[in-house]
Amino acid sequence: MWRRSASFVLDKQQQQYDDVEKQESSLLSSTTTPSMAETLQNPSPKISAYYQTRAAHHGVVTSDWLAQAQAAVGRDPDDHPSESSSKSNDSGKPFGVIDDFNNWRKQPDLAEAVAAIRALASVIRSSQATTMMELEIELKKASDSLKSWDTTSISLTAGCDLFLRYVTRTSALEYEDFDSAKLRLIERAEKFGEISYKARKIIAMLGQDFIFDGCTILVHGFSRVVLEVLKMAAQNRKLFRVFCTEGRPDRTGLRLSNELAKLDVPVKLLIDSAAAYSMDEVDMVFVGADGVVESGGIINMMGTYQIALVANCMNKPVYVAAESYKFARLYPLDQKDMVPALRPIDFGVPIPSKVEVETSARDYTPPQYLTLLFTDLGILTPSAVSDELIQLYL
Amino acid sequence: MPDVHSLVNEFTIKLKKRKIEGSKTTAKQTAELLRSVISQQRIPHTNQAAALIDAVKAVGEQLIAANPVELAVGNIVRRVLHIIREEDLSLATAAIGGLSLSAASDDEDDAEQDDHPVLSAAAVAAAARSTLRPPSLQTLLEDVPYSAAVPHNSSSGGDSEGKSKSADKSSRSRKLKHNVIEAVNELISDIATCHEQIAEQAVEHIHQNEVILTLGSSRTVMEFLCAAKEKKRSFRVFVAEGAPRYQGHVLAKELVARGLQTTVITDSAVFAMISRVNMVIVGAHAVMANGGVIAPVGLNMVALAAQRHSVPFVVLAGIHKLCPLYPHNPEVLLNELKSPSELLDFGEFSDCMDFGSGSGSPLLHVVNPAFDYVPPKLVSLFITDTGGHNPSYMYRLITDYYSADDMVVQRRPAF
Amino acid sequence: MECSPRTPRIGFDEAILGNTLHHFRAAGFNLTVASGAKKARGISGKAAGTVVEVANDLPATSKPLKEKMSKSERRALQESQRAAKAAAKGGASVHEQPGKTLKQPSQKKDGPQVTSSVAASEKKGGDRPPEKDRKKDVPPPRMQFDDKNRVEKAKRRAVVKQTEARNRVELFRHLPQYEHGTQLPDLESKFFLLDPMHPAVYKVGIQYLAGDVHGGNARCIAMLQAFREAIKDYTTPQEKTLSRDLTAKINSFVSFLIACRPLSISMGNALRFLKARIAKLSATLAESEAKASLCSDIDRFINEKIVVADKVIVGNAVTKIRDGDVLLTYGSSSVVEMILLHAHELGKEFRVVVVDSRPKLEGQALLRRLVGKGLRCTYTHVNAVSYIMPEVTRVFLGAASVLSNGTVFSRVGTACVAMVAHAFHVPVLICCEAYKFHERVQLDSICSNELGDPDVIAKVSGRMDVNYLDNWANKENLQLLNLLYDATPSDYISMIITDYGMVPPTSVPVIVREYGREHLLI
Repeated sequence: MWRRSASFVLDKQQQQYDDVEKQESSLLSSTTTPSMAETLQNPSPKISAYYQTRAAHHGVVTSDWLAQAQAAVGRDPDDHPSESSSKSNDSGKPFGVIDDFNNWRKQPDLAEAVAAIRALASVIRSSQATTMMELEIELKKASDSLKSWDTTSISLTAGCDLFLRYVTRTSALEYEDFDSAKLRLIERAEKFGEISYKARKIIAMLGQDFIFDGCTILVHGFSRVVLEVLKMAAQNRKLFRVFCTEGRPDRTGLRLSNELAKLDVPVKLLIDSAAAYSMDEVDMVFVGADGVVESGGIINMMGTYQIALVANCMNKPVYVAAESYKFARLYPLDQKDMVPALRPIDFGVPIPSKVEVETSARDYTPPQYLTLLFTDLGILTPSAVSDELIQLYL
Repeated sequence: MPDVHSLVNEFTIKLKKRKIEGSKTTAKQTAELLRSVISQQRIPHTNQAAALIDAVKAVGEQLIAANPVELAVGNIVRRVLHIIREEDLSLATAAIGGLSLSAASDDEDDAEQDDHPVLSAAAVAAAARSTLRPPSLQTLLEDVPYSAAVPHNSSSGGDSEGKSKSADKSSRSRKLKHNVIEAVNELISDIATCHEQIAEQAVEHIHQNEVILTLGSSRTVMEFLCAAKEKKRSFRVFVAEGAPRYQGHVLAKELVARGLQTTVITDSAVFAMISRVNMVIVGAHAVMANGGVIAPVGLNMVALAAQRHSVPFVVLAGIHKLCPLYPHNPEVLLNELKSPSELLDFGEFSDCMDFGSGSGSPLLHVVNPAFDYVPPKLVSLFITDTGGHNPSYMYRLITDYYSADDMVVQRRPAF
Repeated sequence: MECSPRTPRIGFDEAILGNTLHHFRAAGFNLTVASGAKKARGISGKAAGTVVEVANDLPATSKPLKEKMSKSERRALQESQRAAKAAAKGGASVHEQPGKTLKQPSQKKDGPQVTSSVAASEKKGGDRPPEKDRKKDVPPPRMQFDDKNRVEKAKRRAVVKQTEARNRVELFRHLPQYEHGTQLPDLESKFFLLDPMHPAVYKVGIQYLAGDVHGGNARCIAMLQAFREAIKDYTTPQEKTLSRDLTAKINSFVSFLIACRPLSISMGNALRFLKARIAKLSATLAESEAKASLCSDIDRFINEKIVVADKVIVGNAVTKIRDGDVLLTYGSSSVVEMILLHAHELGKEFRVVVVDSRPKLEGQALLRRLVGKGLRCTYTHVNAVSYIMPEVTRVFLGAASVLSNGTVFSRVGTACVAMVAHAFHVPVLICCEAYKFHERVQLDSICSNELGDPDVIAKVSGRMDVNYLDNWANKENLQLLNLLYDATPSDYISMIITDYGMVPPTSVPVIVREYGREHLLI
């Protein structure tokens, strides 16, 4: 944090401010009272919208808590996005976009990219534009505002980019009729949810082939795709064992282990710091990804990098399951070379204000530590990611 | 038809009995067999490609099951399937091109672009194309029947000679088969000449006074080294014997006959000698999609030693060895255990190899695997008949030579 | 004396003919010298008595071979003694000259050339104190095999047209430092030249040569026991002091043994110990007491440094074996074998993977013994080590020596196995008695090594179908390399189990330091 911030003093002030806020926000992970939503201004400098979604979708464990969290999140978009969008965006359309986006987003099973594309589709629907060019400009604005609303969400950015790219190419195609082109775009956008759902299935198909009887899989973080893969493998009567890291502070591992226990898959919970200790028993590491970047590396929940490092050091394969709409044209050079997604951390005890807390929620895993990526485009080596992106954007 | 059947059966038996050795021979014979299958296949008037594909697939599955470890069989089956799809597509697009008059075809894919005016044959073409091209980000939002333009698709598969075919609808039925057989012939000749193609590149990689290490024997490696020698390069070769087959002796003899300075070392001396070696050149059994190599046993050891001393580890492999599968647990699943008699004298140890002492399992096991898996990070370079490639680029070559559909379909029998 | 260059040649050839006919390919040459050989034999019979008196202190009864002594043999003996003295000067140095001259046995002209050169130098300096000659001839102290200049010089002096004559030597262009090749036939012939050798030493030499005694410990024990015998039978000649003369004597034995097979580092260490003991003997001690003290020293060394040390190592190592383990070993190491058997006796449930390699296939013998004791074994060859490694939980390896930079010098292939184990994250445990540690450092397997008989590479035992290299010697460009050792880098090694406990490879210099002090005090 220090070396990135313009001024240390500023950091310090923020820190204090942060601490005050944290005491409230720390409740999010444990109790998530509805009042939280008001406290958290979006875009809050301290807690990213990205994190909120995660907290809502992948957060802790028990079903009643989940219901509670869902309720909380359900209220959330109603309350604050309207404020935030009116504050942070002064372009013409965005009000609707972000609103729409958040409406989509509250569905726990819906990926963020899907929500973004849906939101953009509604921009098209309500658009007054008469030419493709105008529509494109309008969409661009809308997507920019979406992106700037939450700069930390990679799949949001990637989803917007992907859709814009598609729109651009569609216009190049010259549907004679502008309206039919518009309709087509909307239709495809609405199908996107389905596409993303199908993508998960494809990935599960591909991924489960790599699970062999008697293997031990280490999973970090809660990823719907990874769960799908494991589910599929379990349904195919593969006998395997899963090690779940706890995934502090979100405790995503607890959630995953619950899900797996429901499937009768043997699960063992590890604290996050036990990764290296347990690695020698592990046959492969499975992780999801928030985003797959140009280099073929991934951005994922905090701790992925260290697990990948350990796995690489011990010659264990690291498999990433990620839908292709998470491919983003980013190229981080190191850990701090990306917009940090911040989150509150509950240490259980009050932290003195002088003590700084690293609140970043995710890290970057360079491609050399990844073995293969399972995507709906097929099984890719990290080097193939860039190939796909180049083909899409050049 | 019975003729083909007996041919197939004969070949299957040969594969099962491991009578055919070497991926090149296997590949060639598979291709020849498939050619005769295709030529004898009766073709219906509609959906000819599908009929051919079904026929080839049926035979292919049988062959793959006969020896799942010989990946060259599966590779060739997939290549032939790919050829059929491709030829079918090029015929279809050519037909459409003739009708829709937009014949700006400097690339196969331009022809694809033209297929959106939905014409009778376009559906076939679209279906074919969707299998030819792996899914990509660009097509993520599209779906097949409506397929929008794809101007930047670089996955123009293999040879695009088909594009110039004139679209004479009446002759299409014969033409497809004819074209396919033609293309398969080309494939066969490609396999036959892959050694020369690879060997031609030898001088680019071997410099004067180089010290090269190899293990066992591979025809490709031998030709490669000899080609460099013929171009007046003088260099020396360390040949590790390659237990348990000791093909290194054969290679050494051959190299010496061609006037190369050759030193035979034991396999165990590889680590000792590798520090004085400039380059390791070896052959492969199969190259996997992730750039990993299924290689004669012992090569993983050599590759590790080479990595330790930063010695380039170069794998020579004809394109027919390129396998579109991603290996998982290949050491076990894609391996074959040979007879223990190659290692131990049965007479001496027979008593302890089969007496069921209490537990019923013999005290002594002899492990004699045929292959090693060399992970991609240990490979510095692949030299194929189409040039040199990084291991990380293998995925790309695969999309050039195989259709996405075929990989998935054949996957199960292969593993 | 004008015929002397001829005579030793004959003597030598005769020996070669007698012993190693099959190796000797100079058929034409043989014919020419055949009659000479007979003559030489006659001479040797006559000369025997004088030789005993002049050159030897051993009792006549212990000399079964002395009848064969000829002039040439006597010269060779003198030569060897001279060399031994030189070696003494250089401490326990491994003797270069014999090794060099005897290398490359299957070479046609080798034998004769070697002898003639020996004879030539003999002629010059044989009868007088060969001060000048010795200076030139003798390798400086602490001979290293990789001093090019010295080697070149020695080569020029010792062997005429050495490099040109043999295609095998091409190989050594890559190993210019390499200087220790041995050739069985030549060495065997040497026995007849070294008549005054003590029979025990002679016997050990033959055993080394034939490979009957192999393995670091066995060779070392055999050597020490032979020396003990020799010391028992030793009497100090008049006007000589025991410590100096005995040292010279030992040196002559050593040079003979080196001629049979280069000393291992562990043997060098043992020798150093023995010489230190001899040097420390107080001059006032009576001869019999001195001899008794030396003999007990030798026994103590064998017992403490090898027998007890092994027991300690075994005790340490079994603590690292758990039930369900799969233990991999390579080749045949006596300590590892003891460990495995002991662990089995303790009732531990484990499986053994024996990895073997050509040409020696020592693993088969080990396998035989282990299976005989009821251990569950898996046998494979070194190439398949990557295949088997994933199921292995521990790798136990023996060592010929551990050098002070942590490098383990051991049977060729050990480095391969350790490397693969390292790649698969399987711990590698080196079992090695501390007396084998040496303060030398070495980075690769080439600077110092030993060459075995290349012929065994060409023939694959039990595989008649592999006969592609049958006439390898006739092929100009073909060389066969039979390395005996390799150097395993220390980062592949998880642990070294010694009689000083279990230490990391980084602590080897510590052990060397401590042990070095101790062996002077012992």
